[in-house]
Amino acid sequence: MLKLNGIFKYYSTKFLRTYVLRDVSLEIKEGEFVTVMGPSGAGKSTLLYILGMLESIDDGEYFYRDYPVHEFNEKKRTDLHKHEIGFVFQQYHLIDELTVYENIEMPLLYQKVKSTDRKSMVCDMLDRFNIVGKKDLFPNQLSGGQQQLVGIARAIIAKPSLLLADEPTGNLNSEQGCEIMELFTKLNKNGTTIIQVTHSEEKAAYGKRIINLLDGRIVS
Amino acid sequence: MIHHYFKTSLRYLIRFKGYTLLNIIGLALGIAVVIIIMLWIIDEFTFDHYNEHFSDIYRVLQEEHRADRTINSAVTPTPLGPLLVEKLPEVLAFSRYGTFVGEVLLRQGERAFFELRGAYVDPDFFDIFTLPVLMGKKESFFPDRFSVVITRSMAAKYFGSEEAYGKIILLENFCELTVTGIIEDVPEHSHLQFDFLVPFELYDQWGVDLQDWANAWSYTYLLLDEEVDITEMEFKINKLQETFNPEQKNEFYLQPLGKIHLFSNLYGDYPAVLGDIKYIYIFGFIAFFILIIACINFINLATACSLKRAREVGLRKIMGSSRKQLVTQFLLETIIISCIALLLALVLVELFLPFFRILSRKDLSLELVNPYAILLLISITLITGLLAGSYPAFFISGYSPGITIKGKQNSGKGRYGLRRFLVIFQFIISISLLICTGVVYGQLDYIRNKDLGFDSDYIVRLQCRPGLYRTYETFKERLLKNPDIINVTSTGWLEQPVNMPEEAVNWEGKAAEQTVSINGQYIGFDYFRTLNIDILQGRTFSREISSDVTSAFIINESALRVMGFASPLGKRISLYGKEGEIIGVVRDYHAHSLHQEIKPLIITINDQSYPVYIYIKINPERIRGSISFINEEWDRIIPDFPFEYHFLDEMLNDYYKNENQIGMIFGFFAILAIIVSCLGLFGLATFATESRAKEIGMRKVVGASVTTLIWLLSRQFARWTLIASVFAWIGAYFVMKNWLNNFAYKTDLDPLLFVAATSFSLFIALVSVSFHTLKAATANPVKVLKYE
Repeated sequence: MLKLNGIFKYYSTKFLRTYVLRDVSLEIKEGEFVTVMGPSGAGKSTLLYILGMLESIDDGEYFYRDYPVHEFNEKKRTDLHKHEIGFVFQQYHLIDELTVYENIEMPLLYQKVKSTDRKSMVCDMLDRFNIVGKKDLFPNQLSGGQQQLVGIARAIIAKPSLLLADEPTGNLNSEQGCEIMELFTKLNKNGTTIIQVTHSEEKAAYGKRIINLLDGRIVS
Repeated sequence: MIHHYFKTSLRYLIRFKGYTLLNIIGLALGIAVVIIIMLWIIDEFTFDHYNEHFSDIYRVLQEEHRADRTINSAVTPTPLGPLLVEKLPEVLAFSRYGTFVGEVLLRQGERAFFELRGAYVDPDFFDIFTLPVLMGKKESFFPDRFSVVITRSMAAKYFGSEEAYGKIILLENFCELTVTGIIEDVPEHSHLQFDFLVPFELYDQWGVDLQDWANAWSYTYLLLDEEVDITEMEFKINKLQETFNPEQKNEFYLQPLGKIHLFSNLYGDYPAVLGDIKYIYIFGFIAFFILIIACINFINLATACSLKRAREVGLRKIMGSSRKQLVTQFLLETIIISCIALLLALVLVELFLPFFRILSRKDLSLELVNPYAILLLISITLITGLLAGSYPAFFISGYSPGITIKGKQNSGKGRYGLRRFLVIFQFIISISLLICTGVVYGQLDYIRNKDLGFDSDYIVRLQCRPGLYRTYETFKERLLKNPDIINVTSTGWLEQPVNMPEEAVNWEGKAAEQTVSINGQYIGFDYFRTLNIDILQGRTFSREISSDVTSAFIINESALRVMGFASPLGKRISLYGKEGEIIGVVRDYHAHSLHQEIKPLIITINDQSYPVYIYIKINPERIRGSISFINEEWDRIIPDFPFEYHFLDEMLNDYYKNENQIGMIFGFFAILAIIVSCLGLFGLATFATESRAKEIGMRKVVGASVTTLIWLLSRQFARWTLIASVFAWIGAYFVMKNWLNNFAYKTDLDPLLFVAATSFSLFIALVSVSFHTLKAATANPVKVLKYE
């Protein structure tokens, strides 16, 4: 499904070039559930954002279903990722000015889905995640677990083939965390490819494959 | 989608009420100033436009070549108009326009008032200018010379609800004029302002020879054929003069009606009715600058806020928003703000207008706004919105989502640089305006306190009336019996010195090639004593010496220098055919406003006309009593004329009413500019402290005191103000140096004033940032650090 060949990513200041990723090569197949692990600063999140086409790479190749993403400009990348990829974040990152309903609806707006379709798709999601009653609340009126549910609903509403999760349970208590992981397993069974970043061995066990990063390199 | 943008923007604006309010108020002030100045400019540019024949009306001007200079004057010889209409078929109509000198008394039964706004015109006046007729036919307005056409308000003033048409009005208590027409009041936007018009032939009644080419004290207006070529016309007019008035060396030329109000500043023009294009430029620039200040605020605040929006932007990008969509969203937001600001600006304009009406002495109102102005206003609003929104819109939308989502901002140097530049620019404008205001006031103060060489305090000025002309001496004697009346003197029609033609002045030993411009003044006895003017040599005029009336002159110091006499007394001198010798020298005094230099002056006793203006010096401690005493004496001699008086010093202040007005308007805008700039600073301070919250927290943890922190945060604003000062000083210095050149006598540019403007701005700047710096400096550091 996607393939990285010798990826480099660095930040330059006047005197110093700091490498975040060095020579990372990796292949992920359709339907996998991959966990990326590693200590702080190993480059996990950066790898995830690169996979999600949100960050450019400084060297190497990235093919997504045969598209040469490394050659795409920003606009082309956006067009590709908005139909293909969903994101879940540790800090949920809901927009404070929008209600639960509007937050979930947002990706559809950018994909120019018709208003009637949008309505039924959002209602579907609200139903599936059991948050119909909360649809008119604003994010700060919800608990962390509920916010993350909304975040996941928003990430999968456009039916992406790839779901990227950056420590999705990092801000949740263990019970809420398990619930979210169960949900991921279910989504994966239904065919969504998932790549998650986590610190926790327990959460990592939900995935089928573990990639270990250290100082920007894959160690295993 | 638009709906979605609207919703988010509105909710966002409501959530950050403080910023929104700052933004809107700042921008609204800017737009309000633009609207007010726009109204003023529209008003100035629509002068005389009410005339149907606007583009075909011309005024004849003349250029007079004197030995050392050229005089351009608006007044032309009285025979010119009739000659032109007779000889040139392109001249469709002409009218002369001559005003009354001073005030005249009009009376209808018990109602008697002094009137200033009257004029002598020719019958065609009503064909040239568009004046709606309420009563009578304009063809038969002037059946004979004893007719008068009055305006609607004049009719109401003298006749109340009674019919005025056909009734008699008494001029100066002896000349009966029949009301032969009533017209609508003259529009305010007319450079000619009058309440009543009498036939030009009425001058005959006072023994004026209208055929004499030397009589040049009236305007000549022409209505020309549309097709006519103006240069050719001017040539023909000058050609005609060569035939009919060969002695004169004057050259005539034509001035279009549209150029009179704003572009004319000639000898014989009424400065009071005329505008000045210079001030249109100045205020246009001020409006532009204040709008720029407001836009700068907007940009600064929006970029500052963008830090709060960075996460949202990143997120929207992740959700699939294109950069274009983000830009649209942000622009929409700033346009919403600017539209709200426009509405608020209209409210502010309504609030400011009464005040500005007083300042500008114009009846400005929003009704003046025409479709073009509305279009302009909407464009200004939209452009402001776009301009102010575009920088943050393009800037924020360029954030890399991977970075912003993590809560970090790339605080590039360039952005900071631009913001610093913008703030400095704002302060340059504000400080310059402050300095300009200060200089204008300084000059006004200088004028008020300058020793004029004479004492104008406690001098009552009366205008003589028929009946008093001959009895002036008796009147004076009776007044002087009262110990509170200190002195009495008089002048002729011309209160002030007038410039004399080259050939009219001569003195003993004058070199043939010596050309100097000399003034002459005709005064009554006791003039120098009443005005307290020092006699340096010789003596003043005396009633006891009979030759003093016929052949005595006094000169001022400047004249003495020009003539170069070692001992001036007894030297022969002649002025307009009057010959005699110098009996005294007086100290130079400012007979004119301080715009003009003191000229060489020859003074002689007014032996040519009756006394016209009477100056009475009264006891400062008994003002009211003295005036009622003068009133009684007046009523005893000419009870038919109402008693009306002015104080001389108040009249002298009128010379500077333009400067006074400019000073106030400058002050008004300077204050607005400062307010808008401070609103911006306030917002920027919020931004600066928020973006440095972590640094402040850490400094506190390692033991920084509140005072050091406040200084740390205020330092950059102080530095910006100081840098701006340098530029403002230079700019204001040159602008004001130039402005002061309008005055022959001027104050020095006081360096203290420059320092004061800077200190004031510095103070205001620090006060407006202190709110945030104090809050940041006293906050609990743990909170910030933990959050980060």
